[in-house]
Amino acid sequence: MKNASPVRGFISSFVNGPWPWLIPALGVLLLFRGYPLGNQFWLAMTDMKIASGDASFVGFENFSFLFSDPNYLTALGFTILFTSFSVFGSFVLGFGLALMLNRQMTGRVIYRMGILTTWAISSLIVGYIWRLMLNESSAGVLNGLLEPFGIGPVPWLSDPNMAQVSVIVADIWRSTGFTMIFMLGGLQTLPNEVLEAAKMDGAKGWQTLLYIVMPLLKPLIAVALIFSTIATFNVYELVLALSSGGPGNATSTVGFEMYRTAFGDSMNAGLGLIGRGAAMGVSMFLVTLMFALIYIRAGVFARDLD
Amino acid sequence: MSDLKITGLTKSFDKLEVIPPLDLYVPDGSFTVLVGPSGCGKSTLLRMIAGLEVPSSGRLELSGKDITQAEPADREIAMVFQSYALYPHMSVERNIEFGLKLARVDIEERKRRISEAARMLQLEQLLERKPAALSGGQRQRVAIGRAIVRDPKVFLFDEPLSNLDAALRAKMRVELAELHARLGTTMIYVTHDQTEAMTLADQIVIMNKGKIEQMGSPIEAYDRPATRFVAEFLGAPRMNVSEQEKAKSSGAFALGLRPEDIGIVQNQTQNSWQGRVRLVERLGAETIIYTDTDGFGDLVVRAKSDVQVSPNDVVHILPDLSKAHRFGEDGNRIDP
Ligand SMILES: Nc1ncnc2c1ncn2[C@@H]1O[C@H](COP(=O)(O)OP(=O)(O)O)[C@@H](O)[C@H]1O
Ligand SMILES: [Mg+2]
Repeated sequence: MKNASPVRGFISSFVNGPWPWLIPALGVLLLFRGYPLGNQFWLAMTDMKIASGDASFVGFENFSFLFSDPNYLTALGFTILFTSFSVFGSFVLGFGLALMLNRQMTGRVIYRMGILTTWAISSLIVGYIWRLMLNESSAGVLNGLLEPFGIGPVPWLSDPNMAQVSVIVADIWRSTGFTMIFMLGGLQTLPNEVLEAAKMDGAKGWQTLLYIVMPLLKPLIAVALIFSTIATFNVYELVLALSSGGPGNATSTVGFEMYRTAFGDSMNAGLGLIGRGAAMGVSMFLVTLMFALIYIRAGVFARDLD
Repeated sequence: MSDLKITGLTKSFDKLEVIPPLDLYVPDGSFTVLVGPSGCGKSTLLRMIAGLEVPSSGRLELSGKDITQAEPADREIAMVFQSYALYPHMSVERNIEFGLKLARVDIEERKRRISEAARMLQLEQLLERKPAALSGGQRQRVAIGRAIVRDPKVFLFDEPLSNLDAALRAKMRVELAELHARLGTTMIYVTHDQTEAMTLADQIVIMNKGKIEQMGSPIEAYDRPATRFVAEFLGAPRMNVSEQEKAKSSGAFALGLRPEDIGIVQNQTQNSWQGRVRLVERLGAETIIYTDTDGFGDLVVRAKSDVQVSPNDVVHILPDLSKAHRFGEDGNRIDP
């Protein structure tokens, strides 16, 4: 016998549909993604401090403060500079290495592993490694190497501009491995006969790269750039370990600024401000979201292509 | 004159010798078909001619000019790949134009050549399309168009029809033959399909394990196969070859009889053999009869469509021994 009740019908279609199977995954997602995110939005609208712990609602006050906070604005400026150079640099380098390693050569696997390792190491460790290398006394690896040539000591981390360059170079070093593996994967999907056809058509290596390889990898290049933009924009451990944002706040990024504002020394009047830090976090979230949306669009674009 | 002369060409991948020293002459304007089973080195040979693979040793001469070391694009040789290898992001027109652009042919001349090729290959309506929006046969034609516009001295084809369905393959085969007749350009064509080889070639080159077993006109290879391998490779159904008593009594190690050189007769005669029918395939135009024949073994007979036999019948088989092929233990033909 059939029961025609709409409620029963709804329940049975729910139980027999996909939803029961999705509940565990959705539950985990809500608990570990949804809750912290919601909580952060909430905190961003309070004046919670690390020292006191209690908080009252202040609306958008934290956000409006950010627009006039020189530390935040400086950090935002440097983050944009840092992200642009690092993403561009690691892409050019990573793609170049991928092109090199895509050929038959001895020790190819070893090179690949070696270069990928830089990406697998924690950013914090990368920061410390570079800090040791850039140590400005002659104990530092780089200055130690330059000393016999009468160069230096180079103020790698004590000169503001030099420190910015150092942080960017260290981040390029860290992220090149990712781009390389990503693009290498793309290169290996290219149909060999198409590249050979280009060769028969008289294309030189660079012409094949420009007219065949790059256009075919366009969707993948977009994805690689967006991934590394997101990862680079949010960086803070590297800065923390390498330069602590200094000298002054020359190398402070938004991520680092957020960390310092929210969890920094609570004796210092300007720091330990959970609410304000959360607001910075929200601003980072919005930028990341924007890139993620572009990424999703790029994904659609990639499907259109073939 | 665009004749191709190959002397002492070899190719090894690491220690694996794929092509032992090989000599081949492709006359000007010839349609030469390299045929052989998969993995016998046809593509490797073709790719060395194209310049996509570096020979381990030997020499390639085109129109008397040494091209062994020349870049692929400098050889005046065009190639049509098995997968068509069209540039997926370019329209048909751009695909055809690409090589001309790289060769810095001026725009008027490019337009002229593209429209000529498009007309010849019936691509005029498709010039704006991307390869993904084309059927297999259309892609094939674009690949040919891309080869034609460069006006090469030699066309190379590597199994160009193997990705097409049977009906289209038959149609494209005719189109290719017509194309060759119209252009008169030297063509070297690789296939593992003996029907394609027989129908297209004016010179057929049968390869086995990197070696040339026989070359010459297709009919000559069919009628007088130089080796047992060639005998069994050309023709469908393939030649019956037996090493049993009938071979011995004919003074050969192996005796070969084409299915069409055997008759089924009503009455036993002095020269007839006796066999039992295993299977009858009625194809309409003809009937293929599989038998087990005393002193020969498996024997396939090609008979008229109205032949009256059924499985398990015992039949009298009359071979035309004047058309039998005899082979020695080394696989080479024994002439009477
Ligand atoms: N790049 C390569 N490296 C190693 N072995 C190869 C390579 N290309 C072809 N071969 C080998 O050479 C033999 C001939 O291959 P191929 O010329 O493609 O045969 P065909 O085209 O007649 O089917 C095969 O055994 C194949 O495995
Ligand atoms: Mg092949």
